[in-house]
Amino acid sequence: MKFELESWDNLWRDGQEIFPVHFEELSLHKDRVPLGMDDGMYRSLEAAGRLHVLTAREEGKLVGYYIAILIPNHPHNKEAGPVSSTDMFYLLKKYRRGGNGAKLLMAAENTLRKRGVTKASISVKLHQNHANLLKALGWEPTDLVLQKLL
Amino acid sequence: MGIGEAQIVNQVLRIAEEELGLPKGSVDLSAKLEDLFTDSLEWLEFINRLRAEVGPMTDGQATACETMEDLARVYEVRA
Repeated sequence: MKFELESWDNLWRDGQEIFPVHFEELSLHKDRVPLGMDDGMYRSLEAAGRLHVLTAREEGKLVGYYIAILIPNHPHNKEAGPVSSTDMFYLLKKYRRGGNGAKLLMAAENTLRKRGVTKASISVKLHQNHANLLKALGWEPTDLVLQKLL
Repeated sequence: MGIGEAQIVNQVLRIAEEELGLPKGSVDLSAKLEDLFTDSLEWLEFINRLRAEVGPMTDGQATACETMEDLARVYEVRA
């Protein structure tokens, strides 16, 4: 499996089959918050240098991805350097073997680090909780995320 | 294969067998990591044990390895 930084255009082109599978497996409140990937928004983020797209490919076929949104600094820490927030990460079920999930996250860390990101954030769904894996990779639990439909 | 390299190979294979609870001699160099490890945390714990007991391995090296032979070669280069 290969992990590479790619353009949003590549992911948009090759991800059309995976996005709904990812949504179906993980998303909550599907009836109120249906899937509707905003291609334009992602392109704007990329044009502004604010998008990090890492793909996982098996013999050229897209089988997963890690996406992060970057800002030059957190508004609370203007001297602390760029920070990133994980937008989404996913690996098709068939490919969740041989440490591929860990490898995707390791590649994400390394590519973000090379890009100058000083602090990265990630969240996991409680019904598919990868916290133990993330902690084993050195991620530190710091916040609790709650949501409410308004 | 020199004596040092053979020792490293045996150590890598033994650690894999112990981590997976498999009988001694059941894992060989041709084994694919995706067949041995179905869980990423299990794989990561194995890699970290190699790092602790055999020697350093970068994330890039760990990510690139697909077989037990690939892992052994990471260390054989230094043996």
